[in-house]
Amino acid sequence: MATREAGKKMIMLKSPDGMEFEVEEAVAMESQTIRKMIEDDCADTAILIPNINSKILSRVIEYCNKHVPTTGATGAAASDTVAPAALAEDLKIWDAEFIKVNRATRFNLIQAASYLNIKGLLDLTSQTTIDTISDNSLEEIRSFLSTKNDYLPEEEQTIRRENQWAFQ
Amino acid sequence: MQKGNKDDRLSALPDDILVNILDRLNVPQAARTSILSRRWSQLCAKLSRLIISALDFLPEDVSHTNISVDEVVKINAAAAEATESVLARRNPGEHTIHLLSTTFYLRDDVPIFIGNAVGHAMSTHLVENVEFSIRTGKDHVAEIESDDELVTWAREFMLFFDACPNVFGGLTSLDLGNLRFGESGISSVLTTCKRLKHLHLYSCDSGDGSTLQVEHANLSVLCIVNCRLAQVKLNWLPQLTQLAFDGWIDFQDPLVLGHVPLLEAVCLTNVGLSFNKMVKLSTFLSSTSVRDLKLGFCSEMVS
Repeated sequence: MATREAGKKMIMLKSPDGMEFEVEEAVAMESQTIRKMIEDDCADTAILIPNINSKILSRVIEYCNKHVPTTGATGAAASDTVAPAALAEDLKIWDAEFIKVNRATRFNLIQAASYLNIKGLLDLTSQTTIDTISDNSLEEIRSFLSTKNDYLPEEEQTIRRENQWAFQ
Repeated sequence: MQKGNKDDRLSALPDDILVNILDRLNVPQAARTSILSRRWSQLCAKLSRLIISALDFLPEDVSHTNISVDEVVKINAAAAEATESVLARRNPGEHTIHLLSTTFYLRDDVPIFIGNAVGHAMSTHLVENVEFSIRTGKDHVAEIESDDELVTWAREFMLFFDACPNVFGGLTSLDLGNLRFGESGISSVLTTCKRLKHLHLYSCDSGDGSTLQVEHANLSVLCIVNCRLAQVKLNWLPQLTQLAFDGWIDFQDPLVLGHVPLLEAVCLTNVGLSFNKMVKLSTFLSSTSVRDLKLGFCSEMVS
């Protein structure tokens, strides 16, 4: 379903819940996974993106649209006359807004970024988790990650002893 | 993404994503997560970047520039324990360690203890880059009370160096500070550390106004900062691409470039006074293909 619109090659992405997204090839190629499919000529028809629902996929496309290095895709902001530093600052502000999502969405975005191999998005989506792990107590981390403690009491004692140095 | 355990979404991610996240934390932070569950403890054994610094164990209210003698002993011991602990939990040969970096103080037997742990890791695991950042506890040259202190630290360092030749033989990066070596000290370090790619020397010399001669097959980045050297001679450095030379004393021709065919970035910084001898940049840079030259002079004369 690759079509042409205003001289730009378009790619069709399909989510497992049946939604279709038409995006510029350059935008889709922000994903190294899709780039490889396109380069291997596997992208003639719609590309099915497994495991990523339409809600998450649309957010991912939104991210790629903003971060695609060429001009035009995001409208007025991207222009040759804007200094690179100003563009970077603009992107930082945009990223900060973009990542204001609930926990489940963020984890889904991490998984999507990883599967689609979009480094910038993976960095951005992982950062909150990194901050949470670095700045909080173990119980807060456990609740943030919703991880269940599956140690037997004596196992936990041993593992705590082995890692005592990390709590000093 | 709809399926799976809804209560435990982050843990539903594959190992490599979680390890990627843990790799961005410092080692104590990453190790703490091993208390969460069995899965997380296994993830901690797969980290690819192990960066362990004694300074990570400093209480938050203690400034990095004003660490008491007792505090140094404490955080140094913690760094030694951390190094041994994070390496001991790995399965030999299973996951590559891209970077194993340790920062510690020349105190007691901690350097040799860490050296042995790192040496053991290098012989049982795949370790791509090994980095030592070795501190004396005196961060700034102004804190050094007398030159004898520099000599004492260098002697401490040489004891460590002589005890772990295999580890130094595999080092890829070495950061040293406040050491006054004997005549052959620096050259024997360079000879033993044959895989070295980065070398950072802060206030290191072989005596006031000595000459540093450098010959090394692999060294690509060399930083020489505030060393009381009369002259640096880069005799033979076929892989050297970057040189930073900051602060030299007032002798003629502070830098002599020999065989440095790949040198492309040079950063020279100094405070020169009018009674200093002239520095003729054109003389020593004429035979190279330096692309990027940064100069920082507070001086009355550069030509």
